Amino acid sequence: MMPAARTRTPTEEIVAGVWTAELRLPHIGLDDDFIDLGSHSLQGVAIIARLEQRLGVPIPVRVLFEEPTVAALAAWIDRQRGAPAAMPAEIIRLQDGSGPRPLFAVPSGEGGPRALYAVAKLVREADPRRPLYGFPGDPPVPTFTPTEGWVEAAAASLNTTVRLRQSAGPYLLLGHCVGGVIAWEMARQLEASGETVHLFLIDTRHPRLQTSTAPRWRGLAVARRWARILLHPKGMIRVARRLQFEVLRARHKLQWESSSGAVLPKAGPRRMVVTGAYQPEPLRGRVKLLANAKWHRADPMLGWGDRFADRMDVAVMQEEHGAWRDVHEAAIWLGSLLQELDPSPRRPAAADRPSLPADVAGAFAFDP
Amino acid sequence: MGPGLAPDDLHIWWIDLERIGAEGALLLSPGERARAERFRQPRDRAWWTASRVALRQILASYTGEHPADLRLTSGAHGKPTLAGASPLHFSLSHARERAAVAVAWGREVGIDLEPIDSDRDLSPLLAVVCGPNEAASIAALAPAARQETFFAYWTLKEAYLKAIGAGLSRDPRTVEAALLGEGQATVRDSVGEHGAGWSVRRLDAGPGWVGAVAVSGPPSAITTLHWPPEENSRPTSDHPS
Repeated sequence: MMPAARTRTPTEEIVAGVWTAELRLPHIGLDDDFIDLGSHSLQGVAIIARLEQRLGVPIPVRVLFEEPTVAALAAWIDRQRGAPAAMPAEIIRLQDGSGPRPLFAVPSGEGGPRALYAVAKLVREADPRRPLYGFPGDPPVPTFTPTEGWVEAAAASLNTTVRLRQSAGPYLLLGHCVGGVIAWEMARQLEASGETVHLFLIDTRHPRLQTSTAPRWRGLAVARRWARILLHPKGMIRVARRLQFEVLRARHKLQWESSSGAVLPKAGPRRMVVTGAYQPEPLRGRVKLLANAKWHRADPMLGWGDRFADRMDVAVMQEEHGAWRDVHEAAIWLGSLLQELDPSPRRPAAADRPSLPADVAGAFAFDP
Repeated sequence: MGPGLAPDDLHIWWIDLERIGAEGALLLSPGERARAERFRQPRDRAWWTASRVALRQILASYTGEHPADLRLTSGAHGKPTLAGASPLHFSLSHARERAAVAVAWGREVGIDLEPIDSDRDLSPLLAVVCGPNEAASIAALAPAARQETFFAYWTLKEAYLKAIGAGLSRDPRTVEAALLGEGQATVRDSVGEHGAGWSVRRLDAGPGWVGAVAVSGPPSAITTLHWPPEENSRPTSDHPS
């Protein structure tokens, strides 16, 4: 349905959509009074019934008469849901597709360009027909947000954007590593508003294990990473490839469609700390988790424990953490799960698949 | 004009809004005119204006005042009343091109009139409007009969909630209606005195329409009238059995 009004939040969009359908009006302003639109009480009750069904929030009929505009009713619903309308986050279309429902991905680490390319490469292999969106950097979380509430606020912002791309579920979410913690909270909030969510996690450990990897300060993290790369038997090759990647990226001026056209925002190392403070609750839907062999050997549940065990399907890949970008295992895992959800008669031939410039694609083949 | 309204009588006026002249708008108060101006669709504005004009003309025929001199005020939940503790009680309902007014002396009344919308999907509405007994009764019916029964329940609830002055500030599920045949019906209110002391009745509103009226106290003799008056029309009397 076309947006009925210049809505500012997902809830407003849903409320305006239900109003226009019920009142059979082409356009409704955010501040138009329900009565002034010529509605009678049974239409009001029908609107409430639809919104309850759609949002999973009980709404007394009288609320429509107390909050008689789209803006006021949406704000009332958001207050009930405890989900203040969040600012939409930046989003990038990583893969076009005429295919089924889109997949929304929260990349690993700090959501930098390389983490996004990694997700793009995986999904290109797994399901080339599926629209794919990724979230770069950190969403616009209010600066006063406490550490303990950061993931909730970030997820609310990402969900605002998700809802603008896809107004109703079921939703498909993919989270990689620490991005999976944020995707988890997104799924929880979407489920709380009555939606169905399919959550796919790759190498996402329970958040309390994230704190142990949280660097005290940025310099140490960078030094540690470079030390690891240089001490690796193929360290110099990796460095060369990284440089090659940056050169190619600059030369091709890779432009990703960003929702505001802005330069990709850069997230701080804070993400590792704030995700560690998050306390996940079991979800309604079954979570699909792909774990690397090393972490899986140390703990088959990757720290999620018994509390989550019966709501999670864990699969194992033979690679190390981060190395899944180079292999097909993760793509096969994700591809078969997506195929189960949206069976398609045939997979298009490799030649039909959209691709990055070949030299750029080749530069993916390393571990950051 | 000035139809005799006995103390125990209930007058039901059926109003054809298309036949109320636009010049009647002069009878409205500045507040009513401002309210009418806020309607976005001219048709809604015209129907609403006509319903208030007819209401003023009908009430004036009882009080003997000029229709423009009546002072109408609103109760806590928007129920219109005559200012100055007038013993003349009334209720107005309007839907599309029709309206209905119920009038009684010293007894609270509520009326509701609805067109039966046969295309409307009832499933989402049942959860918000109907109590468990009503939902079970509707589920037991053949699909063809469900629509009319739902709208009969809805008008009975609305009439009752308007009579008690609550309107839709009350959850409609807390008032359950039951149909007894011959236009007879009951409502059971799960709040307060369970609807004791109130009488409800279905009204014959013509094909494709449903109506209901609620009044405090025992059932009344109902007189049906039409506005504007038609040539050669006589009030018809309808006494409940």
